[in-house]
Amino acid sequence: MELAEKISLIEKALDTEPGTVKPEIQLTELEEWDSLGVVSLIAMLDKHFSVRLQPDKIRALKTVKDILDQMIEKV
Amino acid sequence: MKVRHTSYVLPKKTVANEDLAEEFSSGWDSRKIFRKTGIRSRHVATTEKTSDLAVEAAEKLFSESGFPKENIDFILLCTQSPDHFLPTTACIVQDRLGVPTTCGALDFNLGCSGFVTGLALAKGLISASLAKNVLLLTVETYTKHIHPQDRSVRTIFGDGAAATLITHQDGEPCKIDEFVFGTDGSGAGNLIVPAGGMALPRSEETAIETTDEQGNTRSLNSLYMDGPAIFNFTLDTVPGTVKNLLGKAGMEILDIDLYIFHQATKFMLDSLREKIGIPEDKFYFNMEGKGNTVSATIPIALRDALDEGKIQQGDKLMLVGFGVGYSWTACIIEW
Repeated sequence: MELAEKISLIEKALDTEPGTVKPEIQLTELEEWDSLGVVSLIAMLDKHFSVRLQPDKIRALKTVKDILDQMIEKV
Repeated sequence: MKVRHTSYVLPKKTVANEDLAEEFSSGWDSRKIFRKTGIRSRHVATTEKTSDLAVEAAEKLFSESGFPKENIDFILLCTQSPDHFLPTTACIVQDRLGVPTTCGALDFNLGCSGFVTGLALAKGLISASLAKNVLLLTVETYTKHIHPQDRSVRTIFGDGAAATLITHQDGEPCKIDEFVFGTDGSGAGNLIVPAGGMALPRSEETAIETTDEQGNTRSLNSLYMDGPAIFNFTLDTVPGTVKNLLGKAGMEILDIDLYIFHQATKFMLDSLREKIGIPEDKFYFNMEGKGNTVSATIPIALRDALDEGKIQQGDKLMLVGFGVGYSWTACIIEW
């Protein structure tokens, strides 16, 4: 999956305007990074990457790049 | 034995997304909240106590169904917002309803799994010939547990009460079918009112307010929900529970006419429906004007689905409750 596609999945999950999510952005800068946003992210990673984000992993997420690092496709 | 009738009532006061938007100025978009939660407004108890709503719902049930209250021989009342520590709310309700003093009555403390577990208790009482006509009341005034400045839970929860009648007549087939239960107390801390019980009585210390990273304020006296943890729990347990129940009943997904899940949030239900592979037209959702009323959501949804003509006589329904505890229960009933 291309980077742009992954970014688009994050934008859809967080319900942000297209173009607002970039790898270097701090998640706390995004208004949408609240508990509903986190829940949507969990659902997206579970659905598209079969990755289940546990609480310690959620707490460790600081930037968009940290989310991208979780988006690894299973072969 | 069957679920014979269900009625519900909601408190008078409503709080719309726009009302919350006005209160929480920053970072609040009422349309976005609707898209994700499926809730436009919720009803909130002000002066109404849990017993008031329970009595009102039960009176509505008796009036709609024409069933004589004199014939009730057991009251099961599920709540996590009882009138008092003691006495039992079900006893107060028995007296106010004028149900015979020869009936049994008890409260049981469960949240979102409470209605389906209540059906199991009713089935047990009737199967053992201990009762014939059980009044199951699932009633919550959860919003009284909520800190006014905690947007995360104020958005989701609403108050409400449902009264459901489970009856048995000699020779009648049992239309309350298989059950699957689940409990995992390791999740107790993820949906909790920490103070106020005997483990941690309310005090000046427990009333100290803290504000989290997302700007939600609460104290130990108020409801705390770790939304992401709860979401993970449901993804982990609900699909397997549905599969186990279908297996136990010897049925496939499409053999069920309508799935009625605990109405948690739209987003959670969409995720679960997709993961399990339930077709959209077999999956009931309606919490727009009510919010998450905890143990009352399933009977409220059941009644709404009946009123909308989505349930026909003989239909197989799967009811699935899951949440605080953690606790989950699922069953199949025939209408």
